[in-house]
Amino acid sequence: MNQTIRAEMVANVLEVSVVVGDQVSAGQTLLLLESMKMEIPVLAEIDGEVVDIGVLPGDVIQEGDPLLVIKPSSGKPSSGKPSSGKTGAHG
Amino acid sequence: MSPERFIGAVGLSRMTVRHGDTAIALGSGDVPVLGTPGIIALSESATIAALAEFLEQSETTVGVRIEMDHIATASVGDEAVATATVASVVGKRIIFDVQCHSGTRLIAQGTITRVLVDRVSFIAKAAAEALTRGN
Repeated sequence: MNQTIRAEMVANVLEVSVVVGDQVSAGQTLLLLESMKMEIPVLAEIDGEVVDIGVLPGDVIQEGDPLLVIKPSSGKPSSGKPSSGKTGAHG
Repeated sequence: MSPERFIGAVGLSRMTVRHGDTAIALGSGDVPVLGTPGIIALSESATIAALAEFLEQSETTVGVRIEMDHIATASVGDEAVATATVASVVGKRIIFDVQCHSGTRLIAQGTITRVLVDRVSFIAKAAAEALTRGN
């Protein structure tokens, strides 16, 4: 099941580090956000392929906004490790 | 007149960040960037500007609730601009959407609620309460 990564807080999008079609690994930086006066990386929680990106650098995102969608690598179990303290995914 | 007349009103307030506006100077932190109280003051100023042309002389508003995300920093010398838009009115409560930008960067956003009051009654009540307290 595809994983939609959503914003956990209001933020500015500083950088989008991946493009649709990229293969990403758990822990890889996907986006760089600016919020709470800090740069906050959004990391992949699972291995997979980026299938959709909903934001561009300069966008302002609100809590709950979908940022990007990752299709898990087939046959590989999800790492399942929540990246605590990071803006990240909620299925 | 009904407070609904305020809906859609927009106000703007602008500042250049000075040393006196930093978190250090305001006592709200110890970094030399625009302090959150400075953002709040700028934002409230924008709400006042939004209502200015719609208020009767006998009327004023007072701030009762502020909920802001302070997202990014502004440094000394940067310009900051707050925009306040009346999003809704509930009874005498006027709720503003507020955004603060420095250049094109969003540095803060949130909502501010003000209440419409009769200016003379409000000041008289505050003075009477102060007297009661022996001030």
